[in-house]
Amino acid sequence: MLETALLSFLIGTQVAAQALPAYRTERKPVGDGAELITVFGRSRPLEPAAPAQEIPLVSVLRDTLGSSDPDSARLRYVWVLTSTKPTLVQRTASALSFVWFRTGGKEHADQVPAPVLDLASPARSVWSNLAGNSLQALQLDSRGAPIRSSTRSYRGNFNDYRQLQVFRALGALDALEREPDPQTVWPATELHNVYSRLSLSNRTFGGLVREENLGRVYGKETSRRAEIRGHDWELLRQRAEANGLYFDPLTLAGQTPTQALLWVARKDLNRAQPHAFDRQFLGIANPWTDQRLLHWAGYSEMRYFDADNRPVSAGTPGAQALELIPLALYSLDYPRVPLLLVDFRSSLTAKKRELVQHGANTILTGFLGITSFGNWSFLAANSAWTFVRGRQGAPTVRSERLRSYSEAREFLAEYTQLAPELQAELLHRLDHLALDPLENGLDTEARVAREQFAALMQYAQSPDGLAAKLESDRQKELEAYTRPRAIRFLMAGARLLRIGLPENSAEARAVRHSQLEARREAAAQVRYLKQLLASSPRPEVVEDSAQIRYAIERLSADRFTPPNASRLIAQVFERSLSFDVRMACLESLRRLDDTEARIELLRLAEDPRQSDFWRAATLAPKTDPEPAATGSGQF
Amino acid sequence: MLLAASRRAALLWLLSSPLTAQVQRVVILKVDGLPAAALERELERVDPATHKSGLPWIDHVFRQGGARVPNFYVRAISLSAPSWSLLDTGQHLQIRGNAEFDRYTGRVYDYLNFFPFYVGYALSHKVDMPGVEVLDDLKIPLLIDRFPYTDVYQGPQLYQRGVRWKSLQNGLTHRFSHSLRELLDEWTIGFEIGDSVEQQTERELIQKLADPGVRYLDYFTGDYDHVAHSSPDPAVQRLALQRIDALVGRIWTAIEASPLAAQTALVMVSDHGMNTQPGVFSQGYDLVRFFNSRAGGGHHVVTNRHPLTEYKLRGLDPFVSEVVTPSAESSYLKDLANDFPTVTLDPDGNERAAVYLRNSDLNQMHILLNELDRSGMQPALRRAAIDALFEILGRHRAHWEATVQQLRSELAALHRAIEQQRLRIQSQPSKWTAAQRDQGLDKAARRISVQLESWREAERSYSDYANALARLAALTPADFDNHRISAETLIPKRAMGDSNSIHDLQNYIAGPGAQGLVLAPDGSLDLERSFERIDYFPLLASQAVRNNVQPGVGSHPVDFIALSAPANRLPSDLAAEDAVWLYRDQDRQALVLSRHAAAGGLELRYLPVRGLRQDADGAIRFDRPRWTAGFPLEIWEDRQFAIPASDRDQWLEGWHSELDWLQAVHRTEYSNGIVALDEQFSRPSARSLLTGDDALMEQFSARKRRLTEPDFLIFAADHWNFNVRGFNPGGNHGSFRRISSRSVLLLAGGAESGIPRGSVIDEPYDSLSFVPTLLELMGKNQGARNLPGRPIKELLTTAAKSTATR
Repeated sequence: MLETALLSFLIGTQVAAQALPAYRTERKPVGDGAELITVFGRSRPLEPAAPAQEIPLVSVLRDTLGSSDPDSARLRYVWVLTSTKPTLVQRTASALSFVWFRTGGKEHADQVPAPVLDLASPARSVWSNLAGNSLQALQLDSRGAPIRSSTRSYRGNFNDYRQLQVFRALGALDALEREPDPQTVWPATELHNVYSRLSLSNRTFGGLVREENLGRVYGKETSRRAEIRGHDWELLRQRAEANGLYFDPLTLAGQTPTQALLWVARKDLNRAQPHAFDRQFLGIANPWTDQRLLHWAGYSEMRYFDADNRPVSAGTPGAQALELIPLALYSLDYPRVPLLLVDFRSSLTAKKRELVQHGANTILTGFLGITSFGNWSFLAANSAWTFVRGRQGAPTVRSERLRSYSEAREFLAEYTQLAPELQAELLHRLDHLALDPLENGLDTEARVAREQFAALMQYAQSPDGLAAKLESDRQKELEAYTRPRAIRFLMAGARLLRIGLPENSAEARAVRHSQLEARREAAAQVRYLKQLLASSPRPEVVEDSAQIRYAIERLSADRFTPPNASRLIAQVFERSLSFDVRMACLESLRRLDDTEARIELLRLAEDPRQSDFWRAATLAPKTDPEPAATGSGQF
Repeated sequence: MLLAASRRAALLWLLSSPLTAQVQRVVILKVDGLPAAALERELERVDPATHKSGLPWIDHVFRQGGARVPNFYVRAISLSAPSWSLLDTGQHLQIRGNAEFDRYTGRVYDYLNFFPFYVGYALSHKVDMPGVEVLDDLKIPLLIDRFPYTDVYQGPQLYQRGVRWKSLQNGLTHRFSHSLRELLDEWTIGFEIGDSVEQQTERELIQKLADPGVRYLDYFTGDYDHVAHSSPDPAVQRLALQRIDALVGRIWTAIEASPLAAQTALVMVSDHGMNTQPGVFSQGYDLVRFFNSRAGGGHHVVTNRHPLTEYKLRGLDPFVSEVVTPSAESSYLKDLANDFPTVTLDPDGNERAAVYLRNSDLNQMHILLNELDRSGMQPALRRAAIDALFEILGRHRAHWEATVQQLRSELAALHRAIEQQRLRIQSQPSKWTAAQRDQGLDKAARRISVQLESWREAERSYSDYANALARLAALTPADFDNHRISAETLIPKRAMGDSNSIHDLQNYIAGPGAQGLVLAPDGSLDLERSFERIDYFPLLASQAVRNNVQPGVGSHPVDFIALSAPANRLPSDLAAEDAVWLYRDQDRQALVLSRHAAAGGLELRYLPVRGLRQDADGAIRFDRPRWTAGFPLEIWEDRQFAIPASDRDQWLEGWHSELDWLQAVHRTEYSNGIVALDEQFSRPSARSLLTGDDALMEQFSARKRRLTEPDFLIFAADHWNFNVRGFNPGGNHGSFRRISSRSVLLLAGGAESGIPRGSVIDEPYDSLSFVPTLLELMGKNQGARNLPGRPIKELLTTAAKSTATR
C-alpha cells in the first residue's frame, strides 16, 4: 500500500505537468446549420487497471445557420448532461422534509435531458422562479405545516439539485478555460458568455442582466474565484503550520489548487509535549490528544522531505521519511474560509454541519412557518446571527457550500495523482455529505451523462427532433426582429392551436435563414459598435481601424438596418480621429440614405466642433474626397 | 489676512512662471503599487482580436506619444506611505513606514487609514491626512502646495488636504441616477460604492480640465495594488490594468479637448512595484505569533490592526489603530498586556516588518522591581538586586536627565507656541463666506486648530513620559528601605523607551532566568543566569516552516535584518557618517556606510562582514571576509551588476557616489537597495539657522521623528510576507527587490509641452527626481534647484530642444 501511495505521490508532484488535459471540447454539426459543442472531462476509474474514461459534461447548442461567420452564430440551449429527471421514488423522498440522504433509484437515463438554460431567453427562469416563490409564500405556506413543509422541501431539493448541476458545469467551464493548452474549438467570448449566464442563473434577477454586461460578470466572477482560492490556500497553509500539520494542496496540471488535504506525521503524535492546537477554521478535533490517531490503522502514506522540508522522491540523498496520516480534505473554493468536506476521523463532522443548518431551516420555515417574508424581527435576527457566524469564519452560505461540494466531487473524479485507495475513500466520504434525495452517485452520473449525451445526439440528428425545435426557435427569433411584442404573443397562442405554423419547406427555410443571418450580422455589428463606444472615447485606439470600418460598412450594406444604426455610425465619426474611419462613417451614412442618416449628416455638417474639411465632406455627394492631410492615417 | 496671503501666493506664482515655460498644466495619474514589469508585460502583449497592445491607450499616449522612464525606482522601502511622501514632496524621507509608533508615548501614526480622517473632518477635528500633518509639522511642502489653492484639483489619496463632501455626495447621487434596468444589473452583478467615489473624482477632474485656471490635477487609484495583493493570476491583474488603461484614454481625450491641451502634461506614476508572479502564492509568516511565543520572548505585541481582522467583530471598528495581542507565555508581565506591551510591530507593506522592542534595560529594571516587590526575598539577594538595579540606573541616569531637560525645554517652547496659536485662533472669523471657502481659507484656519490640538496632546503625553523618566532617574537605594516600590508605578506604561543598541538586541532580556534571580559567588547578582536573554538576529534568521509546498519558495521566511549601526564606533579606517548593518546569518552580514564628499554629494560603501558584535561598552567588532556569494543584497554575484566580474572586488572595496551605485546595481535582484537603505536609515542632517523657540520647536519635531524609528527592519525572503491583518497571497512589496521597487513613470504632453514622443529614457532615476522634473518642465527651475533630487535631464534636454526648434 505504501509503495502505491508513494508512487501516486511522486506522480502527483513530478509528472503532473505532463498529464493529459483533464478537459476538452468537441464540436459536432447537428440539425440544419447548427452545432453541438460538448465539454468532456477525463474521469479516473477507481479500479487501477481500467483506462481513464471521458464523460460528456456540458453541451451547448450553437446555431450558426450554416455559416462560418461568428457574427451569424447564436448560442441557444445549455444541457448539463449529468443532470437527469428524478425517479418517482426520488421525487417522493424529496417532498419528505426529513429525508436527508440519497435515495438512489436512477440507474439509466436514455431520454433527452431538459436544458438547464435557454441562452436566447435567460429572463424566462427569473419569472418562473418568482412565480414559484410567490405561490409558496402567498398560497402554500398558509395551508398548514404538512403542505408547507413538503412543498418547501420539494422545491428546496429541486433547487439544490439544479444548483449542484449548474455548479458542476461551471467547474468544467472554469477548468477548461484554465487548461494550459486548451484544445478548445469554442470562441473564448462565447465560453465566457455561457459561464456568465450559468453563473447568473443562480441569482434571483440574474436572467435579467443585459448581454453587454456579461463580460463584466465573467471578469468579476473569475477574479473573485481566483482571490478566494489564493486566500483559502494561504489561510489553510498558515493554520496547518501553526498547528504542526502538513498541508497538501491538490492541483490539476497548470491550474490553481482548488482542494487541499491536511496530514499529521505519525512520529509527531508520539511527542511528549503535545503541540498546541487551534480549531478555528479547521473544524476538526485536536489530533494531538486523539487516542485514535495513536493506534491509527486507516490509510497512511510514506513521504520524503529534504532538509528544506521540500517533498522529494524516496531515493534522494538525505531525505527524511515521514509516515503521514490524512486528517481532512478542504475545498479552497468557499469564500473566506476553507470548507471542511471530509474528516477522516469522523464521517459526521461535515455532515453534522449540513444537517444542523438544514434541520433548523426545515423546522423554522417548514414546520413552524417562520420565514423572513414579512417577518422583520425574524429577518433581523436571522441576518444578525448569520452575519456574526459568518464573520467568525463559519460557512453559512448554502449555495457556496453546494458549489464547493460539487467542485470537489468533480475534481476528485478527474484528479489522477492520488493513490486509488485514498481517492476511493475520499469519494466515498464525500458522497456521505449528500443531503439531497434527488442526487445520484458519481458512477450513476457518469453513466447517465453518457446515455443522455447519446440520446441528445440522436435527438439532434433527427429531423423531427432538435432540427424542428431549432427551426421553430428561428422563426420566433425572426419575429422578434420584425413584429411587436403583442403580436408575437398572439402568434404564440395561435401556434398552440396549430394555427399559423411556419412553413417548413426547404425554400422557406432558406429564405428564413438568409433573413435571420442578415439580422444577426447587423445585430452583431451594432453590439460591436456599442461596446466599442462604451469602451473607449477614441475607437481606433483600442480597435483595429479595418475592423471598425468593416463593421460600419457591413451595417450600412445590410438589407435590414437596425434602428439607431445611423446614430451609432455618427457617434463613431464624432469620436474618431482616423481619416479612414471617418470617411467610412460618412460613406455609410450616405449609403443608408434614410431619414435618420440624413439627419445625422446634417447634424454633423452643422457641428461647429468639426473642421471645415469635415463639414464639407459631410455634405459632399457619394464620391471620395481627397484629404488635405492623410500622412499617418490619423486626422 | 489669509485672503491676502493667498493672493500674494497666487501673484508670486504668476510672476515666477517664466515666459518660456512649456508645460503650463500637469495632470498626474497616481497608480498605487503598479510594477513596471507587469505594465511592460501587458503593453507588449498583442491582443489577437484587435492586433493592438493589451493596453492600447497607454501604448498610444505614452509609448508612442510620450516618454517612458523604465528604470524608475523607489528610493527607500517599497511602501505606499514612504514612497508617496517622496513623490509628493521631492524631499528626503521622513515617513518611514505605513504605520509608525512613538517609542515614548505609544502614539500611532496610522498613515493609511482614511476612515478616521473623513470622520474627523466631518467633526471639524481634522483637515489633512495624517501624513500631511507630519510633513506640515516638519515644514515640508507638498507639490500641490507650490500652486495656489484655486489652481489645484486633488483627488482622494494618502497625502490629501481636505475633503470635498460634494464629491462624495455627487458620487452617490450619480450612482443611483441610472435607469432601473441598469441599477438592477448593478445590484445583481455587485454594487461597489468605492467605484462611485473614483468615478466622481474622474468626472470632476475632467470637468476641471475645462478650466484653464486649474494648473495641477491628480487622480489616485489603488485598484491594481488591491487586486495584485489578492491574486497572482495574470488574467485577474490584467483586468485591473485594463481599467487603468481605459482611464488613461478618458483623461487623455479630455485633455485633448481642453483649452490648455498643447501645454498640458499627463504623467502616470506609481509608488512602488509588487512581488507578484503567476502561479506562485505569497506566503505569510506570523511575526505576532513569533513574538508572542516563549521562544520569541513571550511579548505582548502592539500592532495597528487586529490580526486576522476580517474574522473578528472588533475588526469592524474602522477607527482602530492600536491593538494589543497578549502573549499567553509572558514570563513576567502576565495580565499586564495593555499596560506593558513589549513589542510594537508594523508588518504593513508585508515584505518587511518594523520592530520596536521595549528597551532591554527597561525590561531588566521591570523584572528587578517585580522581584524586589515580592515578600520573602533573602536579604543578600535583595541587596544584590538593588545594586543591579542601580547599576542600570547609573548607566542611564545622565542620559535620562539630559533627555528630560531637553524635552522640558522643548515642551516649554511648545507651550508658548500653544498660547500663541490659541490667540491666533481667537482672531479667526467664526464664519466663512463662499468666496473665502473657495480660497481655502476655512481649511487653513481649521488647520491651525487641528495643529493646536495635536500640540496639546503632544505636550501632555511627552510631559508624562518626561516625568516618568525623571522619577526613575531620581530613584535612590534609600527608597527601598522604607516602602515597597512597584514596577507598575515606576516604569512608564505603553512606552518602548530608548532604542535598543546592537548589544541590547544581541543580549535582549526577555524575562527572568529559569531559576529566578541568582547570586554570583562574589555576592553580586549573577546577571547571566538571572535573566533569560535572546539574540534576536540568529533567532529570526533561523525561523523555518515545515510546509514548503511551492517550488522556488524557500522554507525560511526571513531574508535579512537591517538596522542602524553607530558609525562612530566603527574602526577609524571606515570613517563613515552613517552605517546600516545587514544580517543574513552569522557568516553573511554587511555594513552599508555613507558619508558626504567634500562637494556635498552622498557617497556609499558596501562592506561584507562576519560575526559582528557590539560589546557592552559600545565597541563594535567584526571580521572582514573575502567577497563570496550570499551576502545581503547579493550584489557581487549578480549577473546584472554593471561592473565586470574581474573588477568587482576592487570596485566594491571603494566609496562611490550614489549615482555610480545606482547605475551599477539598479538592474540587479535588489536594484537600488544600497541607496534605498541609506535613505531609509539616515537622518537628514540638521543645518538649521533658527534660534530661540523656533529652534526648540524644530528640535522637538526632529525628536518626534527620531522616536518613530524602529529597532530593526526584517525583510522577507522571496515570495514571503509578514502580513498578519489578513492574507496577501497575490503578491507583496516593501523590500528592495527590483520587482518591488521598480515603479512606473510615464509622461506625455501636448504639442507645446516639449515632452518627447516615443522616447525611452534608460538612465536610472529614483523617486526624488519626480518633483524637480515636473517643476523644471513647468519652468519652476528655482523650486527644482532647492530639492535634493536629480531632474530627468533627458526629458528636459529634449524639451529645451523642442522649444528651440519651434
